[in-house]
Amino acid sequence: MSTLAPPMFPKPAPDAATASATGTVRPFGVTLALPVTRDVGTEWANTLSYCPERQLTVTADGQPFIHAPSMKTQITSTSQTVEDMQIATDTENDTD
Amino acid sequence: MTVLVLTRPLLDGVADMVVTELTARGISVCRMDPGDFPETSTLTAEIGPGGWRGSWRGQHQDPVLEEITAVYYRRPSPFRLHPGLSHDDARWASSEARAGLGGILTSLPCIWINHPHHNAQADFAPLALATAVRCGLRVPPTLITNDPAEARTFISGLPGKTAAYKALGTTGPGSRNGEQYALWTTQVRADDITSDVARTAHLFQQWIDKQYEVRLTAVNEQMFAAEIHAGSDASRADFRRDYDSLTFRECGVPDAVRKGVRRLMEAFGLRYVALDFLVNHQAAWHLVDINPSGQYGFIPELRDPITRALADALQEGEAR
Repeated sequence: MSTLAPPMFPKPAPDAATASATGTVRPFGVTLALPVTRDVGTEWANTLSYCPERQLTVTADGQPFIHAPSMKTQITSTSQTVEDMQIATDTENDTD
Repeated sequence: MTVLVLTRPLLDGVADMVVTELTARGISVCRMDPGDFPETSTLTAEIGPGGWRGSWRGQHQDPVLEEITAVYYRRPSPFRLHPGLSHDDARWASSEARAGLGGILTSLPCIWINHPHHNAQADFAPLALATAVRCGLRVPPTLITNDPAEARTFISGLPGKTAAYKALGTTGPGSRNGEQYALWTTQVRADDITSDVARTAHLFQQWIDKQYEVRLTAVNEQMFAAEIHAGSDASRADFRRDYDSLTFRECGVPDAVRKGVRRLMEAFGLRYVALDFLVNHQAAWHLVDINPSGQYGFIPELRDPITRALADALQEGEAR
């Protein structure tokens, strides 16, 4: 769910209140999910930081990540994979 | 003027490109993550004749609400709340944050790419597909059901007796046994369908025997399209599964598709949209995915033109 948009009709159920932690049945669709082979979203975490002056992600040597040739393919595919969904991005704070 | 960029700080290459372009043009940019609210950013706003006035003070930027002329809405984090809150209090605080910060920001009378309320509507696949059909775009035969028998009957009646199963919403399947899972477009036949289709709504679509896919990205009236040629079995089913195998070629957009896309954008109030089409062997374009905030960085040839078009569109707010 978008951080700023209101919950759309119908209002989401409160935080899986009816479900057990593990579950005994699964919807058909979710059984088709495949494991993600790469640690998406965290594999670069140790080498990247946010530059508040330039307002973008930089590598360990201060180069803008989008201009780092060795990482360009990685950032586009990694962020695309995360963004065009199908990988959980919800957190415990985004439950309503 | 100030362009407000709403997104998380890391791993948003598209936001980085747009921020870089706007900065190079000398435009004031404030990049903020709503997820910093309420613990590491502070909002103070009062209503007046022109709407909300005030400031949103962050860790690095302090945008003044009435100076914001455009908002680029990317991928904000969820609100990060105080860890000492109980589960119920956190849920309540998150809802209040959405209504408070979200309500004030979304009321700003400026250019939005895109307004999150519009995105939310266009992200609803059934609404988006129905609107696309009404706008004259070709959509593959599609069934949404939680009836396993209806699903089997539908798939059995398709050419090739094969369907694509796709998730309807934007929530991922989560993790199991510590492993993260992703849900891609999956080929299914009637025999694959189980009684667990009854557990929730499922979307099945005719499996299109495609020559290639097209990613069409539109910014206002400008359209940028590229053929996507898959080089592996995984990427032929869903190109997102294997980016390394893809090759791209810029292409034109048929007039009928162009008109349909413009109508679709107007129907949802979108200034930006990324659309996925399957092009069959008769060269017919079938719309299969509507991504109101899909990213465009993965097609190298289109990266810079789309970035410039977005900056142009955000800069339009300056003239208002």
